[in-house]
Amino acid sequence: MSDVAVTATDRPGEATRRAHETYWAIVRHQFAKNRAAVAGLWLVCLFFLAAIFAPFLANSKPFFLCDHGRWSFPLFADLTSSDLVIFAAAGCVLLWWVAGRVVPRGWFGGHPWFGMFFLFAGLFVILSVAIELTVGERNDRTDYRSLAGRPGVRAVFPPIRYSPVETDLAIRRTPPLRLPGHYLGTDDLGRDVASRLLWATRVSLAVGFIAEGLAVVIGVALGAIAGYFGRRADFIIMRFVEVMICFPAFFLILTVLAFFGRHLWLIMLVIGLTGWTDNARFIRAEFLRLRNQEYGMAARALGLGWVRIVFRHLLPNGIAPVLVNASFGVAAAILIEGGLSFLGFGVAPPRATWGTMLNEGRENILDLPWLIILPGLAIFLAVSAYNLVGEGLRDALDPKLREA
Amino acid sequence: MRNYLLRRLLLMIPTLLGITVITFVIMRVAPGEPAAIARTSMEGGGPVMQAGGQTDELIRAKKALLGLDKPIPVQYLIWVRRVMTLDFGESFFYHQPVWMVIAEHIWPTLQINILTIVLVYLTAIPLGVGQAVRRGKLFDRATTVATFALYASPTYWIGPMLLIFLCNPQYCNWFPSNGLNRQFAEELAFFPWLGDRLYHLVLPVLCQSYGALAYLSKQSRSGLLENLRADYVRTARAKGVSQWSAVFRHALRNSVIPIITIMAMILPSLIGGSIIIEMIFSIQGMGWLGFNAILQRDYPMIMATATIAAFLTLIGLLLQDLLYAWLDPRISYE
Repeated sequence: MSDVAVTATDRPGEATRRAHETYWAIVRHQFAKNRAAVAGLWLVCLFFLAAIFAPFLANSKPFFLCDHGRWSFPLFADLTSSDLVIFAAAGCVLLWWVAGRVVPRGWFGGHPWFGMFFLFAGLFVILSVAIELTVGERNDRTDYRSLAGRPGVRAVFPPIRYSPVETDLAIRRTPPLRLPGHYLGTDDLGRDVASRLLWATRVSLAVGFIAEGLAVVIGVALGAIAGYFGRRADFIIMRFVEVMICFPAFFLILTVLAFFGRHLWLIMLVIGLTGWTDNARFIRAEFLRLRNQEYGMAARALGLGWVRIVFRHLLPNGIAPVLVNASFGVAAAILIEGGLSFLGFGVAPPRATWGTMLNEGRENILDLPWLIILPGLAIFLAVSAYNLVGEGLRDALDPKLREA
Repeated sequence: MRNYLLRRLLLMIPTLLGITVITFVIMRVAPGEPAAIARTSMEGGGPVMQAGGQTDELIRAKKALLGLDKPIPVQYLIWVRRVMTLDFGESFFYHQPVWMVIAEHIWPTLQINILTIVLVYLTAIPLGVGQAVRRGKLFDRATTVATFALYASPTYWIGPMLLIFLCNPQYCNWFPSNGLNRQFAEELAFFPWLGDRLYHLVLPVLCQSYGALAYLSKQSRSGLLENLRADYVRTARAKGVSQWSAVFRHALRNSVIPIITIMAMILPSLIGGSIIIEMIFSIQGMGWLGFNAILQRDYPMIMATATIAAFLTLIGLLLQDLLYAWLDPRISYE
């Protein structure tokens, strides 16, 4: 596919076995050999599962309740519209992946996954609009935990029986493993720390992925324009990149949040808008290199339109450095979000994020150390996981290291 | 070379203009009135504000006083004209020239960062060399894992943990938890005062340096490994050069690029300071100043902070490119 794959299959012994393998199959093969990177990938998957299924893992409502023969399903009945949108997103990604394996080769121009992306993105948009329109407010305030204790009532609760926002001043400041059910203790308002940590996964992953996704889209678009068209477009875009590089980014993000308010979407937006420069520079450099290679020139000589050349010929061969950088970028976005929340500019309370928990823990730092140690550990693990994946990807994509 | 330098310096002008325009526009299109905020922050301060009811007229007078009544482009041009003469205006909050306020808060930040740079270079490069030379051995693997972990640990986690475990009567009460000096330190002679100051700076400097330390040692390890494999090092060893000399006089000299890169990264924070670290250890340096300027909507102060940080970044990048060319004759800008 690209010259990289050719050098990788150059060795005589492996050439026969690998001749039929595509570039990405080789990369996957190399990645799987790196145990640390695979562990990082598993950790990322674990965080994702925790984020998606948070309502089933930590909730004050039982899965089902049997009150003298009357059955009810409080947890499912109380899922909010944002829970359902998250399920819809996860379902669409799963379907997309399955469809990409099932659909015969040759459909969608030989790239089933790329071809069906818009199909499933559209499905997700339709589903989430339908959910937002049909699902109303939830305000089931029944105390199921005391209800379940009564005779004749049976209930099955999630592993953590507390929601992240319910306060109980009677048991505030409990250290971890002291009270049954509160595995990781409670905070200053008596909220369950384990439950809050679990639900906070959602915010961190959403910020990491959406902010970095935005940075990739902007970076690839501007980098492709600069690298493909060159000349004046290149000059202007590179000056703009220079401006963005020299920006004190964290200071700028803080200023925007302080002046425009603490909204989750604004946090994602500003992190994405300040973080695209590396992606643009990588794509530009790759395009400058690829444009004048034989197949790039052949595509132009055939008279193909620039859209087709950019998206079908150059981008698939030049995206590798951006993929590596995006993995580190997700980690960086999680770090920035944590820092903002730590300074009190994160998502507004009572919603839990790891950074907000650190910020709250700072007030009683010497008496309640677990409120600092645990959320920080969560951030550390998430950042490490993405860094491991990024390093694994980089090594797998680097043909020089492969021969060594 | 002179042409290159001149071109780079001239290109800095549009970049700086771009940065200041963006910062200016963000501040000014945001909702909220700095004149109204100035009232709450100086409760009972100025004679104008004593009047109780904050009428529209008073706000208008205040805006005229601060120069906020003109259209935004005009305000920006006025600001640029002032900055040409290195006058950043008067802080809304301190009612003093911005330069004077900065001069008051720059010393703690400078001290922390100079110590940080010294610490990083003194430890990271030997560490990277040690790892590369003992590649795959226990020392290499253990320290590689350690630097990887440090690189992924946010300062806003490590900082509070240092406070919990090293400044806490329940565990070890080894270090002071905040401030730059103990009480009444002004009465001390110079050397006891210096000792006290350094004692207070231990934890902030540790906190500030470990990230750069992890990054630099990682970079120098991989850079050195690449060069140790190179033919010229093998040739040097073959003709009888000692291992020590082959590493330090041949391979390390060719691995200086990351060492310069990190210098350019640290330079902006030398003056800009770290908001998070200064908040954790209650140090009133430049980071603290910038953070409070944002909270108080102190426009001149925010503009000055952003401009100085951007200027230093530009200088850092320029120095980096010049150093590359100076140290590595293969790089040329002609």
